[in-house]
Amino acid sequence: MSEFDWTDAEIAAWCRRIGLPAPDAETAERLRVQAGKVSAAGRTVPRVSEKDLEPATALRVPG
Amino acid sequence: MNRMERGPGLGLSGLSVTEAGARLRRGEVSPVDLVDACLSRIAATQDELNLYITVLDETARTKAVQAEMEIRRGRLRGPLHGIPFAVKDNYHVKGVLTTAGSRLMLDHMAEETATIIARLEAAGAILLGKLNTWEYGTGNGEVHHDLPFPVARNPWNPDRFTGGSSTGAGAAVAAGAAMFALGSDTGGSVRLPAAACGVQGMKATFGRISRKGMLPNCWSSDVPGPLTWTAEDNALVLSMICGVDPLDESTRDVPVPDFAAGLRAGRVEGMRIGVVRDFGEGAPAFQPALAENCERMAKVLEGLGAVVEEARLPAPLPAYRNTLSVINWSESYSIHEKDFLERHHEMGFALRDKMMSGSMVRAADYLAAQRYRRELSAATDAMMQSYDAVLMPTTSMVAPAFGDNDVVRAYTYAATTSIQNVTGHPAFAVASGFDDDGMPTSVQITTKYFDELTALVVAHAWERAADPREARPAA
Repeated sequence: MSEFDWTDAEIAAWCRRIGLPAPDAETAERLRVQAGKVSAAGRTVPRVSEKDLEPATALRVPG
Repeated sequence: MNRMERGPGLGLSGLSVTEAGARLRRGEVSPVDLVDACLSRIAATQDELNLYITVLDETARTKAVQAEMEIRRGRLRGPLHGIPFAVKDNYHVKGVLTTAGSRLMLDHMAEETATIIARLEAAGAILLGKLNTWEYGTGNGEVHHDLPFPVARNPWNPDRFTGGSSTGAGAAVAAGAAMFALGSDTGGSVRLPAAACGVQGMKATFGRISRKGMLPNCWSSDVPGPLTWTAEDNALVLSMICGVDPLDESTRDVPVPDFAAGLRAGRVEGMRIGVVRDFGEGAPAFQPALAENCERMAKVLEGLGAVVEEARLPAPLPAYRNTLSVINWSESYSIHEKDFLERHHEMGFALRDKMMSGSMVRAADYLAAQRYRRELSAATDAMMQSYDAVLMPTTSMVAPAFGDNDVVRAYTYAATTSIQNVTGHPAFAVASGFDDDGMPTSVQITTKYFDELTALVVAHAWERAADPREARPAA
């Protein structure tokens, strides 16, 4: 499944999965745009080394 | 049309906290005078500017009378005794509605008072009311005029945006409808209204100020902050609200200086000050007035004896923004998921839109963002070790007109404020001048962790040398 171009069926399935009713056409299009935006933003975040397994690195807040 | 006026044209309500406090101590004005002046100003501006959601006129007057009696008896509690202030409507005050600007909260009566409001009231400050805000202090950056309260408007030009999410806070201070205000800052929500409305707004170090009693937006980024007319006013408020709180485990037990005394004693001579001019690949173009006024501030500081040089961020601005977006979407969705699923039709478009984004973030991306955040924080902190303070324009544009949501959204998302929300560093948004249309510009002063004092010293020096804080929106 492409994360950048969800089909109508994929969007309807996503809504079911998180507990929303099946979307109308306008909402489905908005969700398609959101999915692309969110996926793109997530992919721009660099991954730290997979050998860095210290668990606390995931959750410590800054400062 | 801009409506600027030179000199303190707002009467008593336009006094700085520092000046009002001095007049109170000399017996020239009373807390009742100050509260009445602010309430009159609220009444005069509310229909046009929509700054307040709730006005506590009766309790404010009662407390003003009590403060007046105490002060007359020689029981002055401190520099904020008798000073009227207001808070964004995402803070709880016991017995007062907390609406968060949302249909979902219209009947929510608070059963507790936020720690920092309790501290301010114990210091004698007088709460005037609750200020306008984006829904739950969050959203997608757009304004759709679909919330239960009309949108707050900019006192410099009511056709313009106030900056968000603390929409009423910056505008109220600029308009003289409160002597200081509390906002909250997750991605710039104190500094952006400060910048849009020409006031001074502090996002302190993450962990410096208690969030207990403040509605969350993004747990790992939320920081409360004061908006004031001057840097010295900000120092007075910070000294009261900073410090560890056993009810908020994110707060750090770090000594809190007397910020106002430190500001008065501080000097910029000999400081090393960096200026960020290049924000890297994908950064927005800055309107000329924003960059020019930042350079002007650097030049003034150089004239006062600071050593000024160009500073380089360790990553492009969009890296900070994207990292914060992934974290903020996720945490915000986890906070509002139940309401989104059950009552999304009661949410405004901007919050619904953000919830949609939040519902789609993958756990792997959220965790990658938090891990990358640590790298960005360490690299940014390493850069900060070379400087006492680093300057950059707070925003890439002045407050835009309502209407084109692509532009309104860009005011938030093309700003530089996400940097310090990712890393946790303190940043003080300071008025730096005006553009050709008379709209305020702003520079944010970033310093090392828990060194808010240096940012205040730099801002105070700038005010004394170049911006005596005389131009106000016309009454």
